[in-house]
Amino acid sequence: MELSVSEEKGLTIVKVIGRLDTVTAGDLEKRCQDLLNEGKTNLALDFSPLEYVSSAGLRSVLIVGKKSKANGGSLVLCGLSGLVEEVFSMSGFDSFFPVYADVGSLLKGDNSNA
Amino acid sequence: MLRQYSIIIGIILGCVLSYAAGVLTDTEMEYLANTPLLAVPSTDHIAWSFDAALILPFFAAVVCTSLKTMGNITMCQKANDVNWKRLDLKTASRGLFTEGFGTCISGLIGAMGLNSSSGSVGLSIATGATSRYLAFLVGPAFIAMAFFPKIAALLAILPKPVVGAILMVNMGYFIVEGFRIIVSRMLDSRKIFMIGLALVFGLGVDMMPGIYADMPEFLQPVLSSSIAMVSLVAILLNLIFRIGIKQHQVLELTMDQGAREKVADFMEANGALWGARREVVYRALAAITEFLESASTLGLVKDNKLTLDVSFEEFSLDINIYYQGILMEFPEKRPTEVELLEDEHAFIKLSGFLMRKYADKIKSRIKDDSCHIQFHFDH
Repeated sequence: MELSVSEEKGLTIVKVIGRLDTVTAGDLEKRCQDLLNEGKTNLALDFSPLEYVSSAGLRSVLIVGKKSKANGGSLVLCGLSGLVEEVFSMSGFDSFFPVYADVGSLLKGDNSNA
Repeated sequence: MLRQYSIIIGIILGCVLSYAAGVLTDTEMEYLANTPLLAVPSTDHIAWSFDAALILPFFAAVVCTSLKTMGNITMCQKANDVNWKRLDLKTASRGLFTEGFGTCISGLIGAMGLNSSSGSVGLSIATGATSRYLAFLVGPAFIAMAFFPKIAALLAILPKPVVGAILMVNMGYFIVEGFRIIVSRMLDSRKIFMIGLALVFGLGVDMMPGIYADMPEFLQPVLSSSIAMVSLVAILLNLIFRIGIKQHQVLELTMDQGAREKVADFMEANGALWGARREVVYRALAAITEFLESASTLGLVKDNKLTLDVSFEEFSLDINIYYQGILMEFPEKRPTEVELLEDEHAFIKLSGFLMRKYADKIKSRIKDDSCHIQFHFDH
């Protein structure tokens, strides 16, 4: 898995590329913890290039969300598609966090397509 | 609305421009003018004969035209059903029967054999006019045209550039839809060869006329038709390439670091061999991967060894997992957000819940230490 971080309009966008499973979930948690330690508490996870997410990956997303909230920030999700979107839907995670169709919609504040 | 009338508007404008450019000649317009508006079709030409030498070429023609009709029916079904997965054989058999029955009647009255029109299917896809009730209008219209020779004459004098333009639009849609159907299935090298070689042989007939001129005379009716060549090469290669393909494969697996990649390679290779639907194979792979992760985390599998037994047929993909150890649980109820936040074990339940949701049916049992889990996927 690769993580690519960018800043847009006060949001820290973490693009998650590859697979989010038992092996890689820890890397996402660690990277997001580093960002929270830098004071970047408003996080967005861009899952558009994500190929697969397991229950371990979902757990890491929930932990990141919990920690950003504890730091006075927030976590939003975007770019869900295909089987990844289905997993988020089956698990109910798409109701735990605001979901946007893509980064563009997120930056416009439009989650009507989510 | 404009989309539905786009072709007829194009035809009218094309004819006007063709007349202005001299492509549609005065001779042709005169022919149209001199053709009677109304006439009873002649039956003087009807006479019957039988030639045994024509049995084989006609048999080849029937096979090829039937395949073409099945292709056309497939396109019609796909165009009308967003959730289309495969050809509905009942509808296809009715379509083939109708065509065969019509061809018998045609033969008896000395007319040409019937075959469904790919151009018409392409036209309906391009314009979005796919209602079956159109047949109740089009059918009687064609019957009526037999009594209105002027209409037939109008069609006969349509300028070639106009006909060419219609075909380009229709065939463009038809070809792309055809490729979509091809790539909806996983393809291995055998299938790629089958599709590729059939296309090469078929296109070769039209692009290099006379290429098979030196072949035996009795084969010429087949070798001079691109559709016949594509059909027969595809059928032959499909039969040959089926040799050695088992619909049931087993993988003995050790749950180590490379297990996921081994399973992924195994499922992709067999999915391609079977020509399975891509989304079903990847869903099955997701379920197996989720199982491997959770089983590894929980230490469910004794000695980290399990057997993956996969069987496929056109309507189902079954994944059987056999191992010694503790049976995985598959809760029917999803853990809540509160449970996930407060209970460490909730994610294990979530994992089992996800596996249950991935599959269309799930069975699990344990006898002594022997565990068996079956994931069933509708294909």
